[in-house]
Amino acid sequence: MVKNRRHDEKLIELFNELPEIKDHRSMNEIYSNVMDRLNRTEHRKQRRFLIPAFATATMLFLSGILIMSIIRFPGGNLSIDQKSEDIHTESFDYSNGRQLFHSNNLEDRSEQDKIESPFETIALYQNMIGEDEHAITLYIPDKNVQNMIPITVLAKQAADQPLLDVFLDVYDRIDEQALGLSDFYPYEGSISADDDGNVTIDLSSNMKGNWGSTGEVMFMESLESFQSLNLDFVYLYEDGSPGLFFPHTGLEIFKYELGKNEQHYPYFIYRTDHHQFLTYGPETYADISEALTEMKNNIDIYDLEASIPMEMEFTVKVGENGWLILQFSNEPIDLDSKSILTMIEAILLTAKSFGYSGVKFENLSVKENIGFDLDQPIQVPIAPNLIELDEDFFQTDETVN
Amino acid sequence: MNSVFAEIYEKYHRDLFQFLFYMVRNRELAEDLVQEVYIRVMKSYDRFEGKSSLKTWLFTIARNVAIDHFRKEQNLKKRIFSRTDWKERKMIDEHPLPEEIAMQNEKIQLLYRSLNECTVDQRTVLIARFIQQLSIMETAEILGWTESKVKTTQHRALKVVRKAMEKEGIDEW
Repeated sequence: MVKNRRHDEKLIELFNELPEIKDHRSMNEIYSNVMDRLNRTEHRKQRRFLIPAFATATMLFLSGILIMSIIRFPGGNLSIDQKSEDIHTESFDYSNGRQLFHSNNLEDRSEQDKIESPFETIALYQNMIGEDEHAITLYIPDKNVQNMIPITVLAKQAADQPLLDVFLDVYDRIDEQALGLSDFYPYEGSISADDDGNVTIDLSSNMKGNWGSTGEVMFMESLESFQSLNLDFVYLYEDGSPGLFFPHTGLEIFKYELGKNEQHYPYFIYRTDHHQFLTYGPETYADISEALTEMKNNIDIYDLEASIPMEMEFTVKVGENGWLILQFSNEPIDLDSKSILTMIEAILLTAKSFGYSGVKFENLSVKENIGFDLDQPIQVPIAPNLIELDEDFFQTDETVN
Repeated sequence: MNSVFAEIYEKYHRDLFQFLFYMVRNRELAEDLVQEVYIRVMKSYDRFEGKSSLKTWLFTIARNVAIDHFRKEQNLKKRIFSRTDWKERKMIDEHPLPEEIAMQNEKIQLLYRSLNECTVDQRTVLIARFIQQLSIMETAEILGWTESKVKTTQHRALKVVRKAMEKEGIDEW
């Protein structure tokens, strides 16, 4: 004991010998950085993209948050070139800012019902996709950089337009801050695609200093976006040399394998000042029943709200055709229709994450028309959180080189 | 320039930066986090009631900023690493020795590395007490603990560091 105490005293003396660490930046530089960051909540950062005409050309860009942009969809293999040929949509109307559907196909009855529903769905469903449109899902961090919120946009692809251009164009238009989400560190670099479609990302070592360890991990996570280009790998370069070194994370990566992620995510509600989103939680589950049970609880530390009301009781089984069946109890539950719609969509997204193609909601009653025919199984969505781009916004706010 | 910023910078910047550096063991990250401290201070300075000293209030914010960073990092790493194919990648020391530490003798380098064996709370106490030279009372105020808990944590933290150093063959101080 005495020996230990003596050792502790010596150890404490040793702490005094640790060097003083100074911040080499000037007060003005730090003040400027602080004010910039404070002001960034007020002003949207301008992005500059230079998009060449050819897919094989190197695309130089300065982007506010491309690293945060992911087209990966955790519930499945969403493709950027999601085609609409096999969809029975006969007309498409953007007149009120939401898609309206008119179809004679019986399978589309539930969508037809949406015309009369006073409620808007959160997710994108298959028959919302118009001709030559592509669903692009960007993953954008929330304000606290804890959750990645999948944001989906329907974009049209012009003839001969590279898919990468479509993605960059969509990204360029999205206003993350207007959605109540996070902007992130700018970086510069280049992306090139060869004739076979292999994508190489060549980043400048200068920009990595802005990332920090969080930024590095976010960048790696963002690489999953390239799954949407039907790629198995992306290649990383730094200043023209193969391999990108991440000093904070301690990884050096040249060939990044895409699509290795496990699925099985439950979906929760994430709210910002003006929006309600559905996003996946931090944990994965082997069993969908466990995931659905977890969806009854808030996850306060991640600011995620329960998407299934606690009082909802149901059993889970798999029916014919492999569709999931949720049989609700007979106990009457007094819930507003909007909450039930949100619950249904969260369950559909979770079911998709577990590989199910549709869900049958049995014995679930709702007072108003929520746009779904609950007598029939409902197909899982294509992607969560469909938004529309504000044309006026990017015309006045963007600078394109 | 904002007078609150100027005052805090003049009086406490060196201490806050050093505290954050030893917490996160990375210069660039400490630079980023100390800016976050200023942002939080400038947003909430009007609500500072003076119940604690300005110094301990600032260290409380700095500690919270560091903890928020660890929390976010853990969450994101968990997500990305759970689907990482390590065959194509090489893992290196996550925190290479910073230049200032690399210039020191082996014992100091090992002491620095041993900090990583501690929990975040233990590391906070060691840095506050023996690098920033804060008192037990000040440390308790920063952490929102009793003085007794600070003493207990300090004792355990020193034990962790001592054992880590002994494991590396250093048993004479």
